[in-house]
Amino acid sequence: MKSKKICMIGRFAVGKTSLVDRYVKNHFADKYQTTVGVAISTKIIDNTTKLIIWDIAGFEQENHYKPYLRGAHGIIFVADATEPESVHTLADIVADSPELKALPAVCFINKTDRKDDINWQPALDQSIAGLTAHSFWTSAKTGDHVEEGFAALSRLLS
Amino acid sequence: MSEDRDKLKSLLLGEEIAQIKAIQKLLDDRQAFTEKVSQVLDNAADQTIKQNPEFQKKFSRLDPKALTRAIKANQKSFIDAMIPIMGPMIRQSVANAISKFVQDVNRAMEQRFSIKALRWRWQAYRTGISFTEIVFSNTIEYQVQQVFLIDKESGLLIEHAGHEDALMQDKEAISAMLTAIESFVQDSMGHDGSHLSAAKLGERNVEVISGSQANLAVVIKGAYTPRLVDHLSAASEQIHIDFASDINDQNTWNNNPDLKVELENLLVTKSQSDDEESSGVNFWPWLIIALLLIGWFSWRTYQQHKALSETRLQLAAIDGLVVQQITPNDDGFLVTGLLDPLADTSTLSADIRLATQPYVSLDDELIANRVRLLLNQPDLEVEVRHGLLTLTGHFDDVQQHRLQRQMLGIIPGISQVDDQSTARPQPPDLNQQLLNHLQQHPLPEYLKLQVIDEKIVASGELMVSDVDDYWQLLNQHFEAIDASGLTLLNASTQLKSITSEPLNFIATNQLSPAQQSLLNQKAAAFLTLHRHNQAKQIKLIAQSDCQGSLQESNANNRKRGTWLAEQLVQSGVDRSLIQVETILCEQITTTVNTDLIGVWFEVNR
Ligand SMILES: Nc1nc2c(ncn2[C@@H]2O[C@H](COP(=O)(O)OP(=O)(O)O)[C@@H](O)[C@H]2O)c(=O)[nH]1
Ligand SMILES: [Mg+2]
Repeated sequence: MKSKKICMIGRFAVGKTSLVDRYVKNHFADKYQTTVGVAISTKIIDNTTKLIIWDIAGFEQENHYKPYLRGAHGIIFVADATEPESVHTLADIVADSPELKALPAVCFINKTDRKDDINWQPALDQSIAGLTAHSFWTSAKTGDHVEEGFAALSRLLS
Repeated sequence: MSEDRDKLKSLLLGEEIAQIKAIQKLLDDRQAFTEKVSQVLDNAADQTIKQNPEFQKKFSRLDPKALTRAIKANQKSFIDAMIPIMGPMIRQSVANAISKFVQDVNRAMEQRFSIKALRWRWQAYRTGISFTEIVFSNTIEYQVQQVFLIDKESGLLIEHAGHEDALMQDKEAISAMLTAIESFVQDSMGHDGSHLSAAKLGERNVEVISGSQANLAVVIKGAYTPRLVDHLSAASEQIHIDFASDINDQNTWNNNPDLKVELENLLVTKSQSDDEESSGVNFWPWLIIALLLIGWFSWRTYQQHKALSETRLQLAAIDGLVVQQITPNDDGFLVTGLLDPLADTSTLSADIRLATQPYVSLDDELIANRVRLLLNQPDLEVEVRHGLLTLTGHFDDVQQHRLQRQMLGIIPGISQVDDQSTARPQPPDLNQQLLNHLQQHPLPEYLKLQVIDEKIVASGELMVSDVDDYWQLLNQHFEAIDASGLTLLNASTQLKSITSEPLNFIATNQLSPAQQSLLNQKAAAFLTLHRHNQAKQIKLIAQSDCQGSLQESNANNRKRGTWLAEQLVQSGVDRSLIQVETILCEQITTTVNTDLIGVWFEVNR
């Protein structure tokens, strides 16, 4: 069994923890619980690979998150479909840690269940295309495309 | 003019002018001003913060260095804050190792009946500390229970040794977490090369030996010495040399039997040196006899002691019982004392016999029992606390309740009564309910509703078309409506029974008994429909086979019609509602059918 380190990247409250919970425990909580430092979860996929998922908090603090990204095999960028700013945060993080560009990555555009609040312009798609060619409109709440997104990343890893 | 002003100034202010000039100079000279301000800044800040604590936040908010300093000053509390996150995971894995260890020890102890073991058992019995703990503290200095070799960069587990069963799921998460914590500590304390080296987890320690490629994290129970840490460091260096290529090759991670063996070698248990080994004298036989005696004696005492304390517990749980003495006898205990007749002793086990004098107990529960007995109202809740009697729930009879409440005063132990109980609410009268309902929803004609024996009974007739709205509404408001006497009517069935079948008869003034009853049915059906406004008139259409003389045929035909109309009147149909039509033979164009003699029916709606 191979272990692969995956990092969840995205600004505060975009739903990183919720997406991991949905994927690993198939569970969603409405209540917001701040992640302290890093939360680590594991999930075995198809008996050959084990994902070690690093759910990292504190992308607002410059440099603070960098040590946690070391040695990652794959990246999940997370943006919030209702918050265009969250896409800019992703671009800022990658500008700050250019080594991320070399890693297999997918992007989750999350909270798509909040249809009335979605606030999206084509320019944002372009911004995301600069990070990865694989993006998924997800909802941690309903589970839409979450499994699919993680599976896509695992395929990129092997 | 300006001269005058200067003069005036110097008259008014005199020597202060010099001071003002000096202040002006101070303000203009940056260096001097800064120096002056800095002399008071410290005090000023203290005072400001005292008056407005928010001020301090403004100061520290934007200064990462200050944050780093704060963390440095509180290293311990930061590490403490991280421990709860990784603690549960490590504890779970360690718990497994412990249970295995306990088994080992127990087995060893059972196999080896030594004086030392005996002494420890005695110690455990006396002190209440578990036997295993005593064995551990007496025989073992420390034990390395888990070893993780962790990639420094990614935090991924390279190899692990220790008990795995429950751990399989979590060892990767643990190693990742240890690395995350190390990053956190490093980040918080600045990059001056400090590492997380040890953390305490309850009575276990995690020691992290930092290597160039990988960290070696070990979980240790017991008091270990720097010598162990040295040993582990040396092992880590050796592993870095021997397995250099494996450590860099992620394909071998978690699947490297050689490396695993190497790590397993680090799972050591350090025993205390046995300094009081066998004394050489053979006193086994004596010891065994002494032990048997001691064993039997202490077993008996223990049993008695246990039974007695159980009895005490049982007795203490009973309100209204005052125990004076407990005497063990052959098959149980005899208890003497005082017992309130209302006390509940049913929970006592059979081997406890009571020999008591009656008395009135002032235990709250007993007072409550007395009140219940007096009131005898099943739906009245009684509670007594420190002499305050609280009544809640319902009583039946207001008058009786008032009387009873006055009597409560004579029950000893009650100092106050808080009566929150209320008279039982009477269910609203069904008749009245029905009346109200009918006022809002008038009855359809011919439906009758009555209240009989607290139940609504429906009778009369109801058209199927009304069932939907009216009957459903009724059912929503009242339960259990008795509809056994109710006739349900279907307009189209009734209609069909009138029109579907003609009466074929040849004689002009006579019907067979079957035809007669058919006619009666038709009459009844029409009357019903008419009653419910579903039919206005019944129409009789007489027709004949037109054989023989046309005139005669037509005359007979007319006779048949009017005669049958008369029959309908006999059956109760009002004459004005009957219309008779005769089809004259001249009007018949088709071939005459000999079966078609008689009368057909139609209904005008
Ligand atoms: N409606 C909706 N809410 C979400 C979704 N994902 C996360 N949330 C909510 O957004 C908040 C932040 O989520 P969290 O996972 O803690 O964000 P994190 O800070 O990125 O880890 C929480 O209140 C979640 O319940 C989603 O897909 N749909
Ligand atoms: Mg989170």
